[in-house]
Amino acid sequence: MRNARPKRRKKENTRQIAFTRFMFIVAFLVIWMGGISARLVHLQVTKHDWLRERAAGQRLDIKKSKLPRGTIFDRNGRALAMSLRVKTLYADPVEMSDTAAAAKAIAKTTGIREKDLAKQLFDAKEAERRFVPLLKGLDETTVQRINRELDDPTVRKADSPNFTGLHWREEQKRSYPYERLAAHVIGFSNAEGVGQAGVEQSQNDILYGAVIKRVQERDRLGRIYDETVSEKEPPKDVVLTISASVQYMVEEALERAVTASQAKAGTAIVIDNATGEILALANFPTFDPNRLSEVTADNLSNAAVQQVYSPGSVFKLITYGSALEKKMFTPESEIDSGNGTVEVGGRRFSDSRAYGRITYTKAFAVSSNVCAIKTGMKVGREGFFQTLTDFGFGKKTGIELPAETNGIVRPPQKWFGDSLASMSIGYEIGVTPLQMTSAFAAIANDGTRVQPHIIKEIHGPGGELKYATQPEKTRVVSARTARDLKIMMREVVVSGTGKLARLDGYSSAGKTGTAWKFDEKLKKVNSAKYVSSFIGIAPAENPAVTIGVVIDEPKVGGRNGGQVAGPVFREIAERILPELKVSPNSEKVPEGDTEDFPEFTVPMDSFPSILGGNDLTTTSVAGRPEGPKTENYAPSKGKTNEGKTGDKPNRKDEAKKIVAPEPAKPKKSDDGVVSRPRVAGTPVPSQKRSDALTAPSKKDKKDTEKKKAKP
Amino acid sequence: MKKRTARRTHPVNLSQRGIGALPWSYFVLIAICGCIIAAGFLLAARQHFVSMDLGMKNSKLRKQLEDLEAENRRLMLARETAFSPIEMTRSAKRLGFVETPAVGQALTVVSSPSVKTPAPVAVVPVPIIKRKVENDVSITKTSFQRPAARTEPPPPTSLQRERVVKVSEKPAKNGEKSERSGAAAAKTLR
Repeated sequence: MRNARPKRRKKENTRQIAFTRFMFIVAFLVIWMGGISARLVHLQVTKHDWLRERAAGQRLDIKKSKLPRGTIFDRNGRALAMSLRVKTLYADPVEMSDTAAAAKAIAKTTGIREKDLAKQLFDAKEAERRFVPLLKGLDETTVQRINRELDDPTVRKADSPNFTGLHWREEQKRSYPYERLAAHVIGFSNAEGVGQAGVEQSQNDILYGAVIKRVQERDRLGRIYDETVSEKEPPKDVVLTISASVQYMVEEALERAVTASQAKAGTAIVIDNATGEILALANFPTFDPNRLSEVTADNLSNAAVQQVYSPGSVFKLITYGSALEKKMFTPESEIDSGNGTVEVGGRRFSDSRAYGRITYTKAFAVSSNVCAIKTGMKVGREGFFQTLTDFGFGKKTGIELPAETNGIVRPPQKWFGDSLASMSIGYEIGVTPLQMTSAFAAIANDGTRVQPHIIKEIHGPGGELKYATQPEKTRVVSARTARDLKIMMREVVVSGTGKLARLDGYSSAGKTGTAWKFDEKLKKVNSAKYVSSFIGIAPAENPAVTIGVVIDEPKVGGRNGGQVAGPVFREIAERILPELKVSPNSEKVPEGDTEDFPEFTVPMDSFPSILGGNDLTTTSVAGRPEGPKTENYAPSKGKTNEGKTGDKPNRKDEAKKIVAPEPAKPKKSDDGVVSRPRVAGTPVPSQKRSDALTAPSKKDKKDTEKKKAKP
Repeated sequence: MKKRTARRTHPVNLSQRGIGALPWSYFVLIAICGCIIAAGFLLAARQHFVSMDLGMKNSKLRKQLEDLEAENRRLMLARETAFSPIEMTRSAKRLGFVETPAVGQALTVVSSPSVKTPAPVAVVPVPIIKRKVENDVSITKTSFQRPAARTEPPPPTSLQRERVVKVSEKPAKNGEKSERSGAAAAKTLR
């Protein structure tokens, strides 16, 4: 029993010790876990945001990039403007330990001067600037070459180039592969990718590349293992009605004409009559949108839609059209031009010579002012104004180009005594070349005006059709009036002022126009400044296109619309009609039969201009200029208008002038209809009016008769 | 006094019995659970790494797609630039082609009835491109125009001489002669 007690005590002590030890360990663990828990609570609750940001900063990389701007195509799918992804090489000098050594290596590859680069990097490092652009706008090939050459095997980097402190930044570059082609239509966009002119500006919302955000998660080596891209609607592509090949031909012809005549500027428009689509719209001088430093105020303006001018004689089409619509005459009816002068509202208007009694067709062909004024006076103010409105003058055509002007058409209440007369021959009115060409296109389209437009379709990024233009169609004159006007226009080319616009292989019709320009300095129209124009249709029987050519201030060679703009029309038409797959329908132009009428017949001070400044360079409306008194306008005996304007008449050319045909004696038929013998160049009588378009000229007819006479 | 042994009616606690008394089934169950948990961890880890790998591949493919799109655009631009009439004219001039007047260009010669001074000719002068000529044969090959009248014809090359001999060897009918010589010329150009 004695021995058992110490054993029990010993056993109890051992247990006690073990228990105590165990409790110590438990306490230690509890304290340890408690400490950890407290720390965790502190980090998770108190420092939650800070830690989260820090973790995200280590792992996440947020990049903002812009989707490439939409492409502009021509009607045949040729890309006229498109955006490319380019890269900019930049340095982060803060990351560089030795800027001098880095500059040496970079200079060797990039070709930048080492000294300048070293200084630039050193200064940036001192100022803690983290973006020093070195090379801009590099394509992928150059980027890969630089990456290869700058590769440093000792450096471990996630992005290229594998060189400490060098990075790439993605950017966009807008390119115009066809350079100057259709520059005024396409326009250009600035460095931020915002359209500044042309379709680039008007369709900016469609073309604009949205900014997207990319959240990239990277591992410790910088490799992207997860990426979230904020989806945005990608930009769409715009398809124009322009045909690049037609546009090129038109631009080439226009440039040649403007250069040859040393003109100030020129405009040419080609419209598809049936659809209202503009196949070409050219201005000269022009610019290259790839080189914006070339852009100046002179070549930036799209004169076709932004500038107004007095159309002159081409506007007589509207005058005669208005009268024809009111059935006041037929093309074969006669009008007496008297002695070649007419006085309206105390102002005298005159022709170059007295044509006597001639048919309306002939009057239109020789561009008689007196006849046009008399016709306009017959129509009356309200009727004439209504016709102007119907043809769309005085309001925008609605073409999808920026800064289009309305033109200048005053309401009849604001007209002067001689305004109707002046407007009948294309003065005291301001139109854009597009408005005028569109009016001719309406006649060519049998009196239905189709709204001219330049955007054909809009496509989605996958090429799916999003929108197709549906132009507005309005009947402005009856089909019969349109047909009569086409007959009259045909005669202009066959025997009138537009002989130089005759085509080889195709029949054509049109009207010439020559208008003096208002001189701001002289405060009156200047005899030395003209706007020469020709607007024509081809082929005459079934017109496919309407071509308008306006040459501003031609200085060398001819000055009449038929002489300056007519050949341009011819060149354009002869080149584009085969391109448009229009079958030839006429014989070749007989050589030497290009004698021209002296269309330019009005004394220079006769017309007040409602267009202040140079007609083609302003849209402001000026008051009536202070011109000489009315009596000064009348040409004195034996003096030509040229004499009045200060230009001495050219005797040689004077002899060329066609003698006015004597008024033919009327014959009365059995049914009581008074008819007259056909004057040279006038079409056949009304019952054969439809054939008149295809009727050969007088010379052609003679040749045929001669051939027939031969056995 | 008789010593009695009291019999326990309730089972002994596991803790009282000691570890050695635990049945093997418990160990197996624990092991299975452990395995399941470990497998779960392994599976999750694998999923994680696979997902990372797929993410990386996805990222690479996305970048590749962007690069290809950019390359496609670049090639499209290059094609359009090559199709540009201005560029074509430039290239043609570089190659030595001579620009001829366009259709109707000669008819732009106009005269004014009222201007006293004679109207200058409005035809654009044909630019004559001077290029380094290595031999005369290349000039006739690369020009659209017939060579201007020369006082002396260019010396025929050995190839041309050979061709002339071949044609003369087989005198053919009138109609065939021109075809043959044309075909031979085409062959020479090739």
